[in-house]
Amino acid sequence: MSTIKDAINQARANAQDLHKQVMAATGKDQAAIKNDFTNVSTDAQALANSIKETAAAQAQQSDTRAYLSDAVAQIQDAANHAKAAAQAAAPEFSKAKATVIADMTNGLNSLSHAVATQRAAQPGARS
Amino acid sequence: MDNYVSIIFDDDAKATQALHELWKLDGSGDVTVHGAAEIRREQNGLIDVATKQTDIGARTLIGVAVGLLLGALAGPVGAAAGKVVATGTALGTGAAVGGVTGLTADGIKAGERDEAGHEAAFFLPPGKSAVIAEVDESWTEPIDSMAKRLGGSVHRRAKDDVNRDMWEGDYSGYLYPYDYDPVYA
Repeated sequence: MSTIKDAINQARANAQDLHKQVMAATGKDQAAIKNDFTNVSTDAQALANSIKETAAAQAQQSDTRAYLSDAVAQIQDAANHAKAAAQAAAPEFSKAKATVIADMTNGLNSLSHAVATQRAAQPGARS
Repeated sequence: MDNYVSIIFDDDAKATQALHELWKLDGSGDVTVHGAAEIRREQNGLIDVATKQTDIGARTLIGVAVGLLLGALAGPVGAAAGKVVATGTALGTGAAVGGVTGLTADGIKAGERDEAGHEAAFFLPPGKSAVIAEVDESWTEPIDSMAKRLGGSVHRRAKDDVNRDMWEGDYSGYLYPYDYDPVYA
C-alpha cells in the first residue's frame, strides 16, 4: 500500500513540476513557447504513461482509480494539445496555449484528489 | 472533506508564512491542499491576488476567478456581490493593472444586507491579508492550530456548498496547485 501511495505522491509532484514548466513557458515569446511546448508534450506523454502504470500496478480504492484515470486522460490531452500548440499558427496559438494550461491544471487537480482519497484510506487517516 | 478555507491575517508577511505552512501540512499528510493563493485588500477596497505570473492575461484571469471564489466563500449573497464586482472589474481595472479584483459589500442589494451580516466576516477588511485554499481535511485541528499560532482567523465552507452558489462553474483551478512565492503586481 505504501508503494502505491508513494507512487501517486510522486506522480503528483511530477505533475506539479510539469505545470510549473508550462506556466514558465507562457511568459516567453511565441517562438520560445513553441519550443518549450515540444518538450512539454514529450514530458506530459511520459507522465501520463507513468500514471497509467501506477494505476494498473495494484488494486486500489475505486475513487482513487477514477481520479487516476481522469488524470491520465487530462495529461494525455495536455501532451496532444502542447504538440498542436507547438505547430499552431498565430491566430490559434493563444487558444491552444490556454488549452494546454487548462489540461495540465485539470490533470494535476485529479492527481491531487487521488492523493487525498489514498490518504483518507490509510489506517488512522488524518486527511 | 473537501473545503474552501480562508485564513485572515493583519499583514502580508503572516499570510505568506501561512501559505508555506499550509503546503508543509500537505507534505506531512495532515491535509491535502488542492490549491491556494495569497490575497490582500487595499485601503481603497480593491482586492489584490498575489501571483507569480508574468503574463498579464493570466494574472487578470486569476484575479477575477479568485475574487469570485472569495465572494462565494461568504455564501450566496457574497457570491452575488463577487460576481457583480468581479465581472465589472474584469472589463476595467483588473484588465488594466492585472490580477486585481474589487470585491466590496456595496455590491449587495440593500434588502439583503441583514442576511449578509453573518457572512460579512468572510470579506476581508481593508488592510488585511489572507490565504484562500481548497483543502481535503478529515479534521480541522492542523490548519486551525497553524492559523492560531500565526495569529490568523480561519473560515471554512464545504466545496459543494460553494459550488452550488457559483452559477458559472468551479474556479478552484485558478488557485496555485503548489507552493509559490507570492508577489503583488
